[in-house]
Amino acid sequence: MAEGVEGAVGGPGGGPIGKPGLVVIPAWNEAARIGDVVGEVRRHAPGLDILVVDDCSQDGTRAAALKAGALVVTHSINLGDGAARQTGFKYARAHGYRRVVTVDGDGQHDPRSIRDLLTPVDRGDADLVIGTRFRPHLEGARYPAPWDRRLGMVLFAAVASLLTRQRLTDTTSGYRALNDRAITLFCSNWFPQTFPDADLLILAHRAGLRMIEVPALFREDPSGRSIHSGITPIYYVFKMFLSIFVTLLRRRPRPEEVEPHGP
Amino acid sequence: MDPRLRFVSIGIALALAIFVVNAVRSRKLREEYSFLWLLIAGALLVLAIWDAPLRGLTRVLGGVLPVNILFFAGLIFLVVVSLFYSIRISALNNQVKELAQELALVKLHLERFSPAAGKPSP
Repeated sequence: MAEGVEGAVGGPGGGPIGKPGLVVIPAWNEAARIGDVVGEVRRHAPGLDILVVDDCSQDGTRAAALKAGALVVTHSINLGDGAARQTGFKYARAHGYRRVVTVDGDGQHDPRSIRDLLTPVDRGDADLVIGTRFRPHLEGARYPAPWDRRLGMVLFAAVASLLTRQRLTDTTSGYRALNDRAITLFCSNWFPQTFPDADLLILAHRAGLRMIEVPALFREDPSGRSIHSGITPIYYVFKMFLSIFVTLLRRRPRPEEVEPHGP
Repeated sequence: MDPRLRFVSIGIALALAIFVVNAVRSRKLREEYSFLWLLIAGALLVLAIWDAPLRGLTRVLGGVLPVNILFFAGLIFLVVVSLFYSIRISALNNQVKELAQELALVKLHLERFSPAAGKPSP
């Protein structure tokens, strides 16, 4: 799969959003909403190609996404959210995309912010842009969360800020934009498979990627379900601390490991 | 050692060895993994016939009964084995993930470029 030509997939993006790019939408059993998500992304980010990564859904997510006109890549077995994102990055890399935005398949991320996320990437100000729900300068950018989740978010935001020496407020946000350097790093096995959250940002910092947080519009998940549902907060906290700890114990990724045309 | 215990121990060691060899023969167990179990069966057999090394070790380590040392060694062995398996499982997990991702991408590629496939690219 190495056509490797920019825009070979859907043709170069004409619309107002500029150069070609890929929107990666990881989805697991989102048949009810994936069509709307794809439609909204197309409306607010015309010209970007849309790839839904169906993580072995059992409810017709694939058919719904195809019907909405997205490209769909389907895992034969359920690999989890992190691996689904990485499949999207691998697709982007194989097809020569130089910018990617990840948008959750549950409709939690308002696609109107895609443009804001891509701006720092296009300007060359950042390799990785994180859409945050906690810099509430946007109208309607309020995000109610249960206290225990909120506590965890604050805790890891503090840890990540400390270790990356920059202010990070939303480590669990899956609403992110990547340039080709970030895509390259995240395609490698440096990428944390289970929950690519605070540990991923710390890894990115150690790899020398420049990060920027921008305020983004989030919606309350209508179903109340989240990627982290079914996981006890205690397990998450333990797992994340361990993941951060081993990230710090490993060597730093070498410069050539974030080089898009490197090994 | 009581002859009855000796008899039972020899029986267990032989049964283990036969079971492992048979599993390898019928390709249920790979040779790499059988090696460890054959080693254990061999050690068990030796100790069942000739327990002087176990008694010697008990004296050196200050154990009260040889059987305690045996249990202790068995416990350590099982801990190490299960740790080894955890590592193997992690490696396999990662390999399965890589394969599944690759398969998914190749399938998409096929769908889009084989004429029989349903929907062309958008």
